[in-house]
Amino acid sequence: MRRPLLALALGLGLASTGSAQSRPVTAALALDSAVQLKGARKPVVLLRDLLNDERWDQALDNSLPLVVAYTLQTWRSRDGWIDEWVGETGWQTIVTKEPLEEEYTVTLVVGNRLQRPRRFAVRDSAVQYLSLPQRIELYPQRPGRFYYTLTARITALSDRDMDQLERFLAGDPDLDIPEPGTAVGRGVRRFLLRIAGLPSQVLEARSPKFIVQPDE
Amino acid sequence: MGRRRMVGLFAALAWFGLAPTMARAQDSVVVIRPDQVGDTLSQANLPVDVIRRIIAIYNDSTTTRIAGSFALPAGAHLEGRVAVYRGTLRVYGRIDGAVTVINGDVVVGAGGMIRGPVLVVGGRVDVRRGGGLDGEQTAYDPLAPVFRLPNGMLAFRERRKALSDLAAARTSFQTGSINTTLSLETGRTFNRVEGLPIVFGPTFATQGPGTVDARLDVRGIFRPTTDRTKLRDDVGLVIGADFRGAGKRRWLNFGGRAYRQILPFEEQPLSKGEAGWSAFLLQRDYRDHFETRGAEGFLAFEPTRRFHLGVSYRRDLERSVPTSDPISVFRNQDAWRPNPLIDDGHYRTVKLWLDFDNRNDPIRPSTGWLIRADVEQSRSDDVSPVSLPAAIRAPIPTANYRFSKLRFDIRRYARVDPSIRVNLRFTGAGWLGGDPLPIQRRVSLGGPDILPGYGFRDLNCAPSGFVDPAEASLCDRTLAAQVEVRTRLPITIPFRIRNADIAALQQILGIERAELVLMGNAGKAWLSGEGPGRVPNGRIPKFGEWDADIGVGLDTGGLGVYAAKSVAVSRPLRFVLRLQRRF
Repeated sequence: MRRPLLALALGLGLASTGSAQSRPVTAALALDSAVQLKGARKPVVLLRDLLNDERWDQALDNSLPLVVAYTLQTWRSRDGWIDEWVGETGWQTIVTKEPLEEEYTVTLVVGNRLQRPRRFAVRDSAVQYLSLPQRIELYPQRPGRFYYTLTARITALSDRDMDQLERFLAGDPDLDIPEPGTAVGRGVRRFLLRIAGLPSQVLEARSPKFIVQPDE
Repeated sequence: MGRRRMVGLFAALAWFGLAPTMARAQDSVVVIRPDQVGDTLSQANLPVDVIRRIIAIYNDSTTTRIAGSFALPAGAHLEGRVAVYRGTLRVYGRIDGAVTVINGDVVVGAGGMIRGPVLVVGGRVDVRRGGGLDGEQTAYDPLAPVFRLPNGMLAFRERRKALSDLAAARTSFQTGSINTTLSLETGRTFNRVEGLPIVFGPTFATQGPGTVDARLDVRGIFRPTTDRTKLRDDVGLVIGADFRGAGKRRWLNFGGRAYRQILPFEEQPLSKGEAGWSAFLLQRDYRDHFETRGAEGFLAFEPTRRFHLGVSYRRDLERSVPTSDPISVFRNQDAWRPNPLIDDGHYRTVKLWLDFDNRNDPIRPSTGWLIRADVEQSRSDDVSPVSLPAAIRAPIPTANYRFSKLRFDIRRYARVDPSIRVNLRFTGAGWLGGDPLPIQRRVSLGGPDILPGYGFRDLNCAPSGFVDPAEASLCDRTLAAQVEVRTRLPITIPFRIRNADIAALQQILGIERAELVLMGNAGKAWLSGEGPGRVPNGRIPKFGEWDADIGVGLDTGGLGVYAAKSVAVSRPLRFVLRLQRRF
């Protein structure tokens, strides 16, 4: 009896090891534990397993930078009636890998402003950094019942995009990130990315509701 | 150095805590500040002499060049000039010589020492406790616009051209306070009168005196398509002067222009770009055109950033122009639809307009309002009218001819909940007063934009038996209302597709981002006045008399396919391909 159990345990262990090698990327949206004035809460974004997802890891190995474009919306719930859109903000995380040096670079672009890139010599450090919660410094200012929604669009850049990104990281001040140009230009570019067989994925998440109390 | 050895080196460095990683031990959360400038890299331009200097230092044969991050371990010693490109230089040993870091940082750790000047561009200098730096420090925050050549040398990176500039040549130079730009580009459309016009000429721009900005544009328009009738010129011209002033926000704008150009009758049923592609690919030009020669002056105000209003006066000669025979990719053997004749003459026109736009995105809006309206009053004393059946228009006076016209377009974009959006549009155009409208101001409905369930200009007010191959718009007035509900398709594939071909097909089809569009459109185009088949001037047709269609579409973010069916009258199901959102 022991032997089959051991085999089963080993099998499960192996299976779990195998699945641990490639876990699909997930996104979650939570509320910050710190409660702001009158009960408002800030959103916290959790992106897990980006580099543990086989296709994104492979894209990085193929020297294709990854772009995670986040869009966060604030909604006021009307409980059964049409919800009210309050506001929207967006930012991007760009992950690149130096193929020869095994060095990872993570760059944040917030409101078209490039943050100072972070470099990681060890993959695990990059994985750890990318798994950190991202707290967005905003919350509703008026009373009501609110929640946040998140859309995270993950894409691998084409060679041309990568060239542009290289230029951007190398100091070309003209490059617009993300998605410059007209609707037609963006559509054509996205279409070309798809034709090139590059992966693209959209993750969505919604936060729990919270209540902002009115003034006393 | 082999890859394995590199990894081994980094692993060893990491073991001793010396790895060139930027991850901070105290990181537990990444803070995103949407509204704060904060610790960002400035994108301001670097002084040119600094760029030249760093390129010269890096490319100097006596410089020790390092591309990427580098750590000098404790006990190690480097002598001479060192330059690092795109990486962090971590010094735990000793460097005797000048250090230059381009688009990276210098970190002098405990026990580290640099004896010599340090120049950092696109980064910063960080001397940690126990580290030392004996020399001049100079740091520039903006990134250096340089790149590495295959031979390892650095070169200056020219500014990238925008996508729209790929088919354009442009150069600028400064003379005193005047900036001059010479440009040569396409007219960014294609039509059956001009073909693909080429626009060229200089722009002179200056700031000042005081708080007034001035701009002078001189544009020649070359039309490569020959007009065999010699009724239109092969070259057009637009000379415009534009002044902006009144405070930092420049809320006052005035100027004038002289022109000889080809203009469309109406800005619908397709946008300029879509109409151009349709004409170039399919030989279907959905617009009509006329030539105008004259001059215009205008005065505009911008009380807020989102609200503009203005007034203009122009005097011009409006002339008919014939269809040329430009090439098209498909159906090139077919004949183009004739360009309608217009009521030629000199017109004096006063126009008032307003524009309010608080949408969150001008291309793919999801919330906000867009309100545009203009009213114009024209007169002419030498009009040469086109002969039209009395059922359409009574004869117009050839002298003291006056008319006025109103156009408006009101759009509301709203989100019902995170996944559903509702867009509404109410638009109209037409005769407001005076004599009947000239041909070039008349209106119609039907076609891909407002009533896609109807054919091109199905509602153009042509009386039965009136044959017009040009299918000109003949109505006095139009009104239309549109509603569309957009929702992201809930089609997702919950498992990983291993078959690369199917996965690629899924990506090509863009299922992940496609939006389902449900739409309803209603509109009415009519002749105004007294008489059979007309609607009295003071009345608007009841909604029950309007033509309407319903449809469904798939919008993949710029490229949309729609099917629409008329509900008021019997028409076949129609399919429409759009290169942008409907409205």
